Amino acid sequence: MTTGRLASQLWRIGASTAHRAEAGRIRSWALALATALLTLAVGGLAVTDASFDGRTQRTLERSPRLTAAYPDEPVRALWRWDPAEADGLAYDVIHLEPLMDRLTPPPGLPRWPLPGESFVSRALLDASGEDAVAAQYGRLAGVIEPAGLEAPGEFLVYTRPTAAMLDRSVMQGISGFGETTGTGVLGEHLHYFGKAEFLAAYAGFVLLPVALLVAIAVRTGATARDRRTMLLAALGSSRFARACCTAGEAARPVALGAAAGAVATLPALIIDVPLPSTTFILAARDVRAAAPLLAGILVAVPAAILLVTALAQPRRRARATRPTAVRTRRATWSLWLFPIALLFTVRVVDLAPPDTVVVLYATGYLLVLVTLPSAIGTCVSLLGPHLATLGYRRGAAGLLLAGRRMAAAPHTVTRLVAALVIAIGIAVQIQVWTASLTAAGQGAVDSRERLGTSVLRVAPYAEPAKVQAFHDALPPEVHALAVQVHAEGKGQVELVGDCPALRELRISCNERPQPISFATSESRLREYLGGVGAADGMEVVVRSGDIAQLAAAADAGRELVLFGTGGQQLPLATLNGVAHRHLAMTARVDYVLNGGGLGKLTIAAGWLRLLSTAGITIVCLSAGIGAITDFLRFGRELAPLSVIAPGRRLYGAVAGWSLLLPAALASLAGVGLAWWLAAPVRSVAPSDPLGLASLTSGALVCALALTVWGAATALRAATGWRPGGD
Amino acid sequence: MQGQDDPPVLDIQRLTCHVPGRTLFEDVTLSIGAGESVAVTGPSGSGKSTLLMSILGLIRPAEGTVRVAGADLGAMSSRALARHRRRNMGMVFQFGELLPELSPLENVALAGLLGGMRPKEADRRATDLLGELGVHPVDGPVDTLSGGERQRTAVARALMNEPALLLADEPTGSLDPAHRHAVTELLHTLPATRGCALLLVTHDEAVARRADRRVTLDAGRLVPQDATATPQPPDTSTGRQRTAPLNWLPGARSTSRSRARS
Repeated sequence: MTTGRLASQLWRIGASTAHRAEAGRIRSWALALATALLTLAVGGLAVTDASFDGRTQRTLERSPRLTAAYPDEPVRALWRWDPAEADGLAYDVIHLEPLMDRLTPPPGLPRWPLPGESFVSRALLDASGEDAVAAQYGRLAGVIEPAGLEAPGEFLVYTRPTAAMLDRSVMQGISGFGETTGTGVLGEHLHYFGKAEFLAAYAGFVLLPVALLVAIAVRTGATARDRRTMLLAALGSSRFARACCTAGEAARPVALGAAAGAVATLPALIIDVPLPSTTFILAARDVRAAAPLLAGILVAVPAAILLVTALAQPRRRARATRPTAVRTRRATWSLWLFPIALLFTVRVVDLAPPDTVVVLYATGYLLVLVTLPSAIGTCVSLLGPHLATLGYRRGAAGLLLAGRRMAAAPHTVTRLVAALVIAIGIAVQIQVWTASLTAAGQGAVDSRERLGTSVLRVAPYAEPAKVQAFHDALPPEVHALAVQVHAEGKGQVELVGDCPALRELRISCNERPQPISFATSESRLREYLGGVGAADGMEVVVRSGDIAQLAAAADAGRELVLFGTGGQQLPLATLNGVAHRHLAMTARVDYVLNGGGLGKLTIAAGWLRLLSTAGITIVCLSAGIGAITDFLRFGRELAPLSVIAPGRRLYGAVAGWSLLLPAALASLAGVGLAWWLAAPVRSVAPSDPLGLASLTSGALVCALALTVWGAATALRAATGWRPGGD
Repeated sequence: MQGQDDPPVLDIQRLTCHVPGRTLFEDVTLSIGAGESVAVTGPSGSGKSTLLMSILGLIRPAEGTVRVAGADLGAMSSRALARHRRRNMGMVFQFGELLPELSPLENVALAGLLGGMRPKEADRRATDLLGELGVHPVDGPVDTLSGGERQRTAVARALMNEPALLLADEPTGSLDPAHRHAVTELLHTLPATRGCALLLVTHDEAVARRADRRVTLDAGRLVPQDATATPQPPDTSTGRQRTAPLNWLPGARSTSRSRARS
């Protein structure tokens, strides 16, 4: 027989054994799942790259060609960028003023906006509402087309000031749009992970767990397959021929997995896909740009998995055909190293020099996670005989069997428990770290929760006529004060306003400056003064007067502050619009404490949550598949006994003792341990205990599902067993 | 002693079984009384093990009936069948099929525990059985035993629930001559000492010769060897199943009890 025909025949033989071999069905599903997830994970890399490139490309296309940077080019329009915020997310507002006719508008705009008009992205309109956006930026001229946006979910505004509000002095001259180098001067990417940071998180949370799943899937049911491979070797087959047989067995599930991965990718090629837990929307056009690469991945990933399957074969012959109790060498080193690592991690924050705390803490935590599985395994194998003895004495067959299995093959329980504890450990760390990420802006969040929009700051302070016009245009229930903060010495805050405004804040109306106490001032005023630093010992003086006539002073900043009658909430968007129309084209009405990078941190935390959830799910899935495969073997071992003394309850009992009890204990202990280990991080960022409850509940539900699956798998294996020997 | 009117422990009537593409055996009729042993021989693939599986109720035959201890297995629900098997049948497999992690004592006692015995009773009975069968007590896993000891442990496990019918599938097939002889001796004394019926499937002529009767399953038919009568279909006209032709007894067997538990 020629080599080709032999290989083809062995391929077919392998394919025909796919479901009949030990754990064949589980392996097929595991391989299909691993291939699908690896296809998606590697495809995700390609899409990530294309998405970053696409966003960079689009932001470059809309970047202004500043004549300051290109002095040879004529000034054809004026341009200015300002930051704004909606739903805690920072975004960009572009002010435009064309200086000549028939000038090409920015990408995504059908024409230049007329004075007082604005073009707004669909996502911002959906988030804030058309009325609010129109009130803030002027008449809505249209929606920015996707070609002018970095991503479909980007918040962006192009606005053109009215002739009255146009302030050329604050704008820059541009010759047009379109840069060829750099990453662009504005855009959504400034508020997200950088490419390198994202890829690092992606590799750790997604690629590594998927690689673990592939490794487990490839070696699922390996005992019987290894025996067959050795038999083929003994019969004189070449390594290539044996690889053909093994690859043939895996071919169908791998192809199925690749097809599933392709089908899962398809929608992203057609429609924009919003990613859960983040505000990001993946642009279909970016995914389409990566289509050739995705097609290559669709071929390369299954081929790589088949290659790994063929290569992951034993080099030595199996030594015994007799069923033997699996015994692993008990590694006792973990029993003393684990508590040391644990104590080190908890105490390092107090004892280590501050600049090394983070590194030492991370090292200790990693050491705990590395030594934990072995420590658990040692405990399990020590506990097993005692459980078996107890089960024997009490007549609990399930406990007897589970105990003996734990003693003989602790790796089954160890793998499951370790995976659960590690997954919980990661989840708790993610929770406290995301809390610490957002803790930086917690003051702003707390202030907003207390005040809402009952006090608002307005900047810049403009020339008297415009301030007066702004004041006059304010709704009657809104009061304004002019504020000047002097930085000299201890500093001084000067408040000027009309009598109704002062009375609203329970301050007597007097033209002579009078000091007021920060501590006893009205609550809204106290919050505002806290926001400008008065709590640090600044003197606060108040007088009645015209808010438009606050004289400028050296080293002093001026702004306006707005209060509502009776502490009512003020219409932020409307007041922004009033400010744009009457105070300054760049005017901004904002909360007392600006969230600043709060939105950016929230987005980072959302991404971290999304990626870690994917990673934890895959780790648990890998552990589950490993546990189920072991249970399948257990079912076959128990089958002869069940012929003599049948009983379904036994499988449930063994699954309960072997899977549910350890998993439940691991879930509870894991949450406690992880919470304790996270104490140093938690001390700077209080976390939500409810998050832990849902984490524990989720782990217990997974454990219960795994138990039912394990019992059903073992029962099915036992039911399908038939005595051989004829 | 089994009387003439005692129902057989195993009563197979016109049993037919198909496998894809062919009929494995058909019209097989066989009866075994308490205290009697029957050896089934035949070439590989003739259906000996399938016959055992039919008797255990693990596969449903195409035609015919299997009655064990007076009860028709075909009429039972799977739950009732499991209960009936637990109470009335024991099985010794070719490779013992013991649980490798458990000690010999635990392997044997486990069958009793699953059969509903109290823990102390299961422990006492398992200890007694192992002692009777000459298995030295060891605390370690069963895979530290020799092949013969493992097989004797498997016999002890099969006897744990005092079965009326003991089935053995090539029980000596994996043993060396010395162990084979010992296990053969042991098995063939059981019908006399425990009053159970023994159906033994074997390739080994020496083992088969020790049985009270020998039948050969060949070309789908069960043929008695040196029998004085050939298998006959049951006499359905009288409403009573005929078991006499195959229920050939070389001599009356004394039994310690007559069991026909349902």
